[in-house]
Amino acid sequence: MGGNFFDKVGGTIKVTLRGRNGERVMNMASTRGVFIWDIKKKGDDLDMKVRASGFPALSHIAEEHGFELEVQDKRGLPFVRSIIRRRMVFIGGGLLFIAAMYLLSSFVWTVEVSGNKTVAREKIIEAAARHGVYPGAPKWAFSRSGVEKELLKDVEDISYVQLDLKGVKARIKVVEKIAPLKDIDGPSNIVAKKDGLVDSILVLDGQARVKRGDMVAKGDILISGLVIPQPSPYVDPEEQGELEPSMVKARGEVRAKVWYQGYGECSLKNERVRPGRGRQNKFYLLTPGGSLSLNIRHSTSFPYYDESARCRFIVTPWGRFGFKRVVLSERLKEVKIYSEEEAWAKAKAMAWRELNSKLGSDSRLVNTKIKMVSSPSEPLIRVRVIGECSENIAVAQPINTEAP
Amino acid sequence: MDKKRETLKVMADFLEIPRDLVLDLPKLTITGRNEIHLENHRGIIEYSLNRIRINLSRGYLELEGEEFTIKALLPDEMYIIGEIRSIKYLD
Repeated sequence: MGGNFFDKVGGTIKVTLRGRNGERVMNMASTRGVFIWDIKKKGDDLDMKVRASGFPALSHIAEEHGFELEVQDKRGLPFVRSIIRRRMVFIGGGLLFIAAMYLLSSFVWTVEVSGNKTVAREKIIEAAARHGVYPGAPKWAFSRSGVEKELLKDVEDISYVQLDLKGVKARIKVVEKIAPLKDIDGPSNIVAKKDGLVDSILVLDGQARVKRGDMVAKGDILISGLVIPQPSPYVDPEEQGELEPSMVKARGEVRAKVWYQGYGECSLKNERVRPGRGRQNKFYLLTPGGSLSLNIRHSTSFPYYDESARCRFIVTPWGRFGFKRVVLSERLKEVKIYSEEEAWAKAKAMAWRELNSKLGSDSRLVNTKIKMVSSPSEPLIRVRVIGECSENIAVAQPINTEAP
Repeated sequence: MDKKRETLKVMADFLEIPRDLVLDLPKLTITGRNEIHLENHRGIIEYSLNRIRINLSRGYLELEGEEFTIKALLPDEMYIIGEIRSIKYLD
């Protein structure tokens, strides 16, 4: 009956009872509720097992009746202590490890920002650092909701912040404010967005200042919001009285011819570097005294490669300690010879791409001209594409009525 | 005393309750030749490797054999293993 789980937990003791007529002790023990088992006679003595909890009662009974009780063996959890004492350093090391893990994981090691498009990452990181979230910051020193609130106050252009702590990583998720389009309420002019030759002008409100065929420069007033009334030739000037200029919000469309150009070139002999499959890692230990290479192989296996390094370090009073990983990505060099036709086609395509990227969604290509601009001595084909576009160059600009 | 026992016996028969429960009678379960499970005992009179005498409510039980070990001892139950040669009821 011994040897079950509860005996292991509570602990069992093997004893030898010395003296004649041990039956008396056995009977006394069982009537007093002390459970004993594995009773075996050995000469005059009796071997038996008893639970650790029942041992004091048994030894008391034995003493009372003039028997001698000798402990032979102790087993079970309460007696593991002796083993623990022997393995003190090992167990201490384990505990130290757990404590170190706990301690190190209770700091923020990295701060990540996501969701920002126009707000600078540094600005958010800096604001977070002001409120206690920075690499090396203890986690208990700040409250998540508090930092979120402060960040919302500090960084104006964000409407929502979420701070997540995943292990030793602090993730700041932001949602930026969408600024409403600024509508001009007061009087305004319409000015030219870019240089061009006015093609057509449609005035809805205001007074035209240019006519078809005029060259305009960027910023020129096209339709004025300041309307100067013209005296009517059919009415008697005296009847018309004093005509006051008025201010309006100018509206209208001015289409103009605008020229764009795209440039492309292609050399006949083309050297190109493209990414290869090879990767090599190099590891370095960073100490205040310098960096220590942890590599078995120091040589680089590729003739051409790109390097990208990632550092992780902690700042301590003794300097920076950390770890650097350098990834070398293989690059392959390729030489390609183009015929003149091929180079021309490539350069032209490149020029067209550049031209198209300059065109606005509103502009309509009217006329194009393709010119080769390279000199015959060059091993290079240069192409320029000039596109003539018709587009609306009108843009509203408020009139400053608060005159100085 | 005997009268009381008699009454209890009749009652147990009438109510169909096992007699060992009502009358405190010993119940002996022998498995093979070397395992004995005894309920309702009244203590051990003598224990040695070759002989065990156990007190019962009426008389005592004497086991003879070899290498007796009391595997478990509880206030009214015990479990004995060993090579059993004879089991005797004595008064």
